[in-house]
Amino acid sequence: MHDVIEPLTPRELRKNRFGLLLFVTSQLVPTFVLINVRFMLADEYVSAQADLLLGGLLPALLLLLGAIPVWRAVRFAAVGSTDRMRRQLTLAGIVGLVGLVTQIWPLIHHRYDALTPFGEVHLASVGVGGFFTLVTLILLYSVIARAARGQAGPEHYWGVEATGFVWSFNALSWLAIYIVMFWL
Amino acid sequence: MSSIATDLLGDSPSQTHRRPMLPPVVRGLIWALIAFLVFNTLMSEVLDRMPYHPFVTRASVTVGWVAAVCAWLLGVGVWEGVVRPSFGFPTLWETPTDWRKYFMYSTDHRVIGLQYIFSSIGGFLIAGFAAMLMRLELMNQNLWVFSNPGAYLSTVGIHGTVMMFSVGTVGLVGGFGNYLIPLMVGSNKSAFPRMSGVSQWLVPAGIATVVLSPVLGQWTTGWRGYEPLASQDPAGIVFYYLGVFALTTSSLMVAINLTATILFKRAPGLTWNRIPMFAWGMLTVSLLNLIWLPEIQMTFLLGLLGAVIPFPYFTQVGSPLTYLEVFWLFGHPEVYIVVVPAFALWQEILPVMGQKSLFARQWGIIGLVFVMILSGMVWAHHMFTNMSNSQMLPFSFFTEIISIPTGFAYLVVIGTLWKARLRLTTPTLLVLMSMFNFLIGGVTGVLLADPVVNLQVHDSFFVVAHFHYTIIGAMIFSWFAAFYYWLPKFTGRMYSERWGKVLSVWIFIAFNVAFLQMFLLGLHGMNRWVPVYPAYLQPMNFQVSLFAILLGIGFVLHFLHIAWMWRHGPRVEENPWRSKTLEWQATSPPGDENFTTIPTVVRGFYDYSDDRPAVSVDVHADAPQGAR
Repeated sequence: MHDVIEPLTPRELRKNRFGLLLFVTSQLVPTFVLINVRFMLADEYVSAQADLLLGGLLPALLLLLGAIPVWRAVRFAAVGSTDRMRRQLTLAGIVGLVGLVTQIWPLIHHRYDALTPFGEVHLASVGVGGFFTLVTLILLYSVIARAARGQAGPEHYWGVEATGFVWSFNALSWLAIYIVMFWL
Repeated sequence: MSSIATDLLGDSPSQTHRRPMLPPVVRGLIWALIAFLVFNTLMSEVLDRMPYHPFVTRASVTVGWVAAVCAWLLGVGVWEGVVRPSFGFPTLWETPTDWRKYFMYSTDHRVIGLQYIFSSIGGFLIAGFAAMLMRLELMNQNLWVFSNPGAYLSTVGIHGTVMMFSVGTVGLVGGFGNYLIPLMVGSNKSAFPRMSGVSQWLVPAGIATVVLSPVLGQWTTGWRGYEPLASQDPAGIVFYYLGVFALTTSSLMVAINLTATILFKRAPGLTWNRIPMFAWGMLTVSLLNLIWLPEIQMTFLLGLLGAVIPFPYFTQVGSPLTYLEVFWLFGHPEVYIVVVPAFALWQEILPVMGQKSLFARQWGIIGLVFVMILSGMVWAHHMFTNMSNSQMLPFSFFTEIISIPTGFAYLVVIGTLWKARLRLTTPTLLVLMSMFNFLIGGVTGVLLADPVVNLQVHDSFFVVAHFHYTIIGAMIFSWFAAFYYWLPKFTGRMYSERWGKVLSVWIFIAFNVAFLQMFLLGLHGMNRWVPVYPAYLQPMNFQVSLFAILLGIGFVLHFLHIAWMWRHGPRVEENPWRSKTLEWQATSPPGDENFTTIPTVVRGFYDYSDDRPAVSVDVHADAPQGAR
């Protein structure tokens, strides 16, 4: 049985967007729980030893910046400019990888005591954020791999667009966690 | 597996390697075992070496489990069916047509539905066996089956966890929902068949994980995983968290798939006003799953980190209420996740059996939707013993209010039955029994919503009887009604009406005698969570156990009857119940495709005031003969 990838109909595209929206919405719930736990356990306390950059601002900025090439790739995919699409996706992949490393760095090295309320909540946030970033990157690299085999473009637009949505969700949810963790 | 998944690049028949294959679950098991050994060893011996270097640590078993579940999924066919195509690698996929198709990754919603049904039956039998052990223990006021209270409590935990997360949440939704919803909305497939194919295989992984939890040590929290109690237990709780994570992830994926299927795969003419009642039930329960399953997953993730790192989240906060709040936020909607499909089933089956139009259909739907909404506002009635009076009031109020939309289901059914010439078939009987049982479960629920009663009977067998009336009494009886009602659809064969009724009466009597006495036991002072109790409670406990064991035997006999009739039952016409819903307009069992021509719905399915069909074409006019 030969796998033939059929272009999506407009209704199928709407269905896929809706399914992804459902998934993303459902994943807002654990983020919300995490934010609640932050205040339940550690109130508004921020450890003086906490690094504001690593596991904080730097991944937030990198993930937000990475959304630019991802959405440019979506636009190039829509008009059939597949080479430029691949270049943008590769650029986003590099930015995302650096973002992931800066995000999970506190798991390897942190100056605060991990067994304090702030330490626990921050490391759990970093772990959850890192997991979502890893999933986003796997999705991104799968699209890059498909693009290299000619399976992403105007007729197979959804995979690139889905990456854009997931990337944006991940960047925004980390931004929310970062703000809650360090600023509220 | 490699024999059926070959390289797309070499698509000439000569390049396709064929050899007899074992079902891919065997490969999945082998891969899972290897992955567990490799990653567990890596953690315990290299990355996280502990003093006295034990081979299995909490951290190593967690990492090993994650690797094993990934390997299990890849082994059953996700590698060929999902991963390779996702990275652009071509895949040739030949699905066997024999029994092996049920033991591998599939994208056919009917195969997936049956896989879910088999998985949940497996969970039901395992958790039921645990219940039998518990009732054997309680036949005597002293420890005599279990050697210590922890072993008893671990068994209680396994029973509750497997029943709730692999039967209650899965049986009607993952099983019947996956099989029937595409058929009921006039589609040949579900919205996201690949995701659905993956999700099913998390269920056996989750059940196995929970059942194997005593290997790591006892856990005494029951299905609720209460902290800080859990943190004081040995390591068995780790497999509780992990197993539930697999099971809830599966249900989350089912929820996304069913919601999108109902919204986007509907046949022409199937407007919102015509969506079948069972599909409405699936839609409402899916929305509940989408909201509350991620919530409990995050809570359990924190619990897991507390057990593994350990991060003492719920112990250092100083109040056990913190965990209780976040658990019951999910825990009470979970009850409605279990029981809402049963309400929908009542309204699906009885109009057909009475051949009478569904009474006040809109109110039935409103009831389902409002039960869904209100279920998120009642959680704290589980914690009345720890609350001030002023805090109790709103939760008491909403808990009593939720009985109103629940009552809509009864009103719709009673209105439908009024002057109907009801066929008293086995599904009818089971639905009526389910309604009777839920009435008792519901009325005692209203009693328990009253703080005065609640504080008196809290943590007694009165509560155990109450929730078993809602879960077994309503959902499990409806589950069996669904088996009998749709057996001709699954198999093209009919069950024995006489045996179906005899066994239904059997379980009805056994259930009610066992659990009605549990109310009395609770009022007499029988506590939950104890294998040892005062001697004056022994005679009644002995009787409860006797009828509970009869109930268990009755369930097993039902399954044996259904299994026998699946193969040997008399062949039956394609629409034996003369139902108007779409699944009965396809062949029984459905052919390669549900519908060779997608039907157009021209009127509602529940109007039996005239004989005109609800669809405008013969939906299987072109079906191959063998499929009819």
